[in-house]
Amino acid sequence: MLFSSMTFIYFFLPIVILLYFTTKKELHNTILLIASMIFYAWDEPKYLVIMLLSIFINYFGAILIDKYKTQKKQILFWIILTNLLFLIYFKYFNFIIENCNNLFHSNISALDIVMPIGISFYIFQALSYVIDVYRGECKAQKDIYKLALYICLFPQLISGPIIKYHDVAEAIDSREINFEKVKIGVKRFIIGLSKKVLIANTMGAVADKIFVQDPSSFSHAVAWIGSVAYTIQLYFDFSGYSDMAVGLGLIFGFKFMENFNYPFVAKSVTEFWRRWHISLSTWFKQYVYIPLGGSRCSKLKKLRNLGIVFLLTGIWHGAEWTFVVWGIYHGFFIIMENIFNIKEFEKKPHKWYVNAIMHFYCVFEFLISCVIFRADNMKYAWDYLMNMFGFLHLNSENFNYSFGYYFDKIVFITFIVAVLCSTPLFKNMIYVQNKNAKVFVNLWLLVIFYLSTISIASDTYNPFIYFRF
Amino acid sequence: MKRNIITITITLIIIIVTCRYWIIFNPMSVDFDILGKGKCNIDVQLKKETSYNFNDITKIYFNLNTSKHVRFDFEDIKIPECLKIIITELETNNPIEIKNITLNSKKYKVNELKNFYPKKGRIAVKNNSVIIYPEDNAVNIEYNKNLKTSISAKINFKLFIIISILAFLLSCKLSKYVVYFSIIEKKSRIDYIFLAIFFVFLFVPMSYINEGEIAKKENRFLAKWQPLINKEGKFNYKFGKDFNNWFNDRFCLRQNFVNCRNSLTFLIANKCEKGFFDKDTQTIYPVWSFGHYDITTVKTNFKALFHFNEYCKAHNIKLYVLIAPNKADVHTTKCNFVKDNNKHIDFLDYIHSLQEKDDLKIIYPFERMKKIADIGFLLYFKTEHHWTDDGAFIAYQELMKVINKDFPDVKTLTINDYDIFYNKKVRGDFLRDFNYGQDCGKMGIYDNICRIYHKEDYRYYRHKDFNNLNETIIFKKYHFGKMYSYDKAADYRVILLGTSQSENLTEFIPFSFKNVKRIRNNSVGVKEDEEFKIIKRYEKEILDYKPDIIIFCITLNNIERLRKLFEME
Repeated sequence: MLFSSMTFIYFFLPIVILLYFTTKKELHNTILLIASMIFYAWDEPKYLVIMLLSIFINYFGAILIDKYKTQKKQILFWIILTNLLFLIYFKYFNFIIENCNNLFHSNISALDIVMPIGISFYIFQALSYVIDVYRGECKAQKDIYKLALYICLFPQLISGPIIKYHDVAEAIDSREINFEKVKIGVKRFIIGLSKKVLIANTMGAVADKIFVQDPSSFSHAVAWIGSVAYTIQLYFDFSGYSDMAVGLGLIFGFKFMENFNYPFVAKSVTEFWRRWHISLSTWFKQYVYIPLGGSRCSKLKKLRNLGIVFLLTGIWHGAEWTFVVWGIYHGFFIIMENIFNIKEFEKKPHKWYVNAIMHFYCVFEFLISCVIFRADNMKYAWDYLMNMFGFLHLNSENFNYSFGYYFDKIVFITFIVAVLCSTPLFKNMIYVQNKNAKVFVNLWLLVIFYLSTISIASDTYNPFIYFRF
Repeated sequence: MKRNIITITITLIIIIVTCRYWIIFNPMSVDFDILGKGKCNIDVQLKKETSYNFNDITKIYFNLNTSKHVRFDFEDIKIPECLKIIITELETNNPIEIKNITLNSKKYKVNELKNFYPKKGRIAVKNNSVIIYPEDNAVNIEYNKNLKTSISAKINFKLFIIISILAFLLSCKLSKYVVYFSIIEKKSRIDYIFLAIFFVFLFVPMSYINEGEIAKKENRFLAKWQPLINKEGKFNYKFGKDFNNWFNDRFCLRQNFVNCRNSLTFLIANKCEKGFFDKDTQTIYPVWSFGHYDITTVKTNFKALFHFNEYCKAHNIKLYVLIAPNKADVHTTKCNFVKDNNKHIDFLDYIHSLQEKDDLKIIYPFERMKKIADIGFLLYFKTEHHWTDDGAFIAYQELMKVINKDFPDVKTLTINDYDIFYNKKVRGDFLRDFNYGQDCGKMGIYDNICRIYHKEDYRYYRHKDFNNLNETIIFKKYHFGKMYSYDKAADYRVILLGTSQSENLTEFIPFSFKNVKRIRNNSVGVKEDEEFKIIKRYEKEILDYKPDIIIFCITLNNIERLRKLFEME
């Protein structure tokens, strides 16, 4: 089930909220667990089995780690391997086969595997739990239902944020629900929904129109529009989903970590990654980068560690070479910034134009990476980038559409709103205390909630164009 | 005290909202006597939105030769919104008399003519009976006045008590929270109201589920409820998806939300999901009036036409393919986003090369239509993508130029053969009711907007000898099959096969050929094997009818469907 669907917002969510708030505290976890299972099984019930299997393995694995302290390293190794095998099988198996075939000229047929939704997220959460138990940061959960709730809690199940077990262990046992949390939660949910529906979907439609065509069939300007539109879509889609997850978490009494912190105000790629998909970055930092030695080792090893982390980040995002290159691309910039010690440079006060150049560099770097991220293959990404930079020979007679096809008034308004909302200009909007401002903000939130609703409702409008022949 | 008031209020609201579950209305019934000649189908409807029930549930194939008493029961209607009597597939144009109209045992006095609104016919009221004079083979009459009827209902006390208790318990719990929040926490009322609106709004879409069968504006069936475990005890693994489809089609205020969104989009950007609006020319361009296929796809699809041509040759039939150009190519839009010109030029080159070969007879009247449209003639309706009678007439003339080479004795009609009249009606589509703005509804544009912008008078053609043309319906349901015979025309048998674009051609082609069989090849609500997609289905008609000529009218932006012609066999 998707957050931005009629069924979720106007059927599933009200029923869960109603049940949650009208039952005793002791039943809250049970309600959330059942709701989460239904939420996950809604579109593809068969994948529930895989998630349940993952829960069982990690539950018993953690108990074994706790019990057999002397052999906990071996046990941890096998649990991690099992989890990764799940991920490799469902996400990377066909990619590996395809590349083996290309490399060894073999003819191994690909399997008909459909990746279960959210597997990358819940496997990483499960790994976080067993590693935390191994490190002694928390005790093994004796109650399998509580562990199941941690792994499959529906607000963050499909697209994160990736919650570390030690962050929510207490809340799973006991959490307080109060007016303030519910109020902020609802507001965050509305903001997230509108980010997704009103901004990401609008810009996504523009990006789709462009990326569906051959790079030689549109102009350089259109190529840049496509890149900008997709960058905006990516940010608002993902951060919108994270906002909804955080909001829903608050409504049910949890406090999830923030996943985005205005990444486009960053002045370096290093800073950008401290603000972008924070839960994934911190996961890799805590469970890969630090165990590899982190920054407390030689400069060369540190750079190697950074390279590994970003390569894995790329691979985590998908089973395509474009994602691998995307990870390497970011890793390259991070390593270069480390070599040139950009952290120190950032700390010093600079004139406005130096700051502007740094902002520009950071946004530009990400804009280019988004083309690689969005492209179906590296050939397409290369041609697209060549078009953007004017190196692709174009013939205007081959252009399918003129500029106006991609950029209308609604897109323009959405673009302006998106740029403004990418900055911390409205950061504390939902926390205002002034009475008039509060009335204005609440009204505005209700308006954007209504606009999001009519937008989602319109997606259900599906005229049958029988007369088209 | 405060808490008690809140509890009682919430309880009452829940009881009222759930009244549809504990109040059981007795089914409505409509009775009347009917007298006429020949046979017909009769349908009675009590809702303002006309339902085109494809399942023929309430239709009766009825012999009118003697007075008959008919009765219709409506299980799902509690309060009638209006009374519609729809008579279709009439065999003769003789008057039909309806009397003793009774609704739930309440007999109506039909003595005021103004209370009735006829469509496609005239009516008169005499001796408490309605006499209908049909102008066509179908006629509707609608009783416009508010219907006063005795509504009988009973209360399901068991359910009422259960709902009341549950509502009370729920209200107690909710009021506890409300009081807790407002008294203990002393929070701002502004936030309190905000949260209340949000949570109430969450429940609005599921507060009423549309139980209808079709969405008229979308021209499709609404998704049906598929249970988690079906009657055979099998588990439905697609329950989630089925539920999404069902809920998405039926939630409360759906049409209002869609209208609101479309109106907003239309006002801001002059476009809607399905089309663009050119303010300068006050014309709507549906998205499918732009589309062109690349030439490789065209050639692939045209293989089906070559096959069909061979098939016709083998049966000694001449095939003529008339391709309707896209509206946006003929009436060039100033919303100049779509530069598919190159594809269109490629297509024109390809068509010219085919025309030179003179094997497959293809008529693509684009060039002449463009010239005439540039003068200022409206060859396509402003509100949609079909050609007007003017457009169809030009296409007909271009078609006849080619036919005349093989059949010089066939008369090509001129404008002098026709009476020209002006009308605001939009024709061309199925289930249209000839109301302007209908197609815009399908495009997702709010009808009211269309009515503001589109007040155009269109030129309509009616043959001067129209009364001597015999028309017979040959297909029931939605194939729009008709048989035409006109004795003064050249003695050939013709099958006119085509999409909705071929509809206007029936104003011309039946007057050029003695016998014409018209088949609409894109229909909704028919079984796969009955559809005119595959050659087998055409074959049945062709072999039965044995035509000399087949005129195949296709639409440029959807030639991909041609693939199915031979692929599906």
